Amino acid sequence: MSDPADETETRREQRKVARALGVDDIERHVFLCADQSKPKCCEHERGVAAWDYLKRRLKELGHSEPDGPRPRVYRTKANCLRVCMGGPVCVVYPEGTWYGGCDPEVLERIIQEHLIGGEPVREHLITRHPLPEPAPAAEAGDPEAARGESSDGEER
Amino acid sequence: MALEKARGKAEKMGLGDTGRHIFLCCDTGECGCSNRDQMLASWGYLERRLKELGLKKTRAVRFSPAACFDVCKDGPIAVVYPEEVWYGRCVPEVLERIVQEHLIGGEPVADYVIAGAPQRG
Repeated sequence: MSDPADETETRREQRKVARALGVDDIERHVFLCADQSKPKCCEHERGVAAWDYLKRRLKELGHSEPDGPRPRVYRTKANCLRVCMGGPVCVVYPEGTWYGGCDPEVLERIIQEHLIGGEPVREHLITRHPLPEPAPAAEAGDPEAARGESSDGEER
Repeated sequence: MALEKARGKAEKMGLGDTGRHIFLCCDTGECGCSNRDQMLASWGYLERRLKELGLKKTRAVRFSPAACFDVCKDGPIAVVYPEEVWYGRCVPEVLERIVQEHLIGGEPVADYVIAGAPQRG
């Protein structure tokens, strides 16, 4: 690994980039299986078309922009989500909601109803993935515990 | 029909029973946060370790390769849900700490957090 001092400096710069991207304000994060190295859940072009649509619509609606309307939505391409059928497949966090058949018309509904409206689109659900409770500080709403967790060099 | 099949597959995969989900940048084509060899080495390491530790079999942790997260600096970048913690410099040594301390232990690794959790350094 590199010199620890350099590493700290790089980490600071990296945190600045993340702040500029508005990463801390993300309310929903959608991962779409697209442009895969081995396209299995759908044809390669179909995945790419879905990705282009998702990216374009979120930008048009402003929800993917750091200074845009709430909720703030982040989108990332996933290379493979391992479902490998009925694609394009996407998963939306923090709800852990998995969707299939994510072509533009379905994506438009997911964008409007779920990403913006907060209501999963049941007809296109593959499954819901109930996640564990967020781990540290937030646990059980204990302010003493929360302080203990975050006392060590916290910057935020 | 295709959706029905996908639902069946999801059930077989236990998508409904998994715990944390880690996405690691493996965008060897476009992203500049790391180089191709480093990304593939990190991905290979993560996959191997989660298998060795039995976390793949028990579905305690799901892992997916992702494309660019737009940070593009000192990567590979990883994001862990449900805590929504973003990490930088996910080389094997750092991934080992993330696996042990965060994915298993539930405590984000403050030294390498770039967003979403307390940071150190």
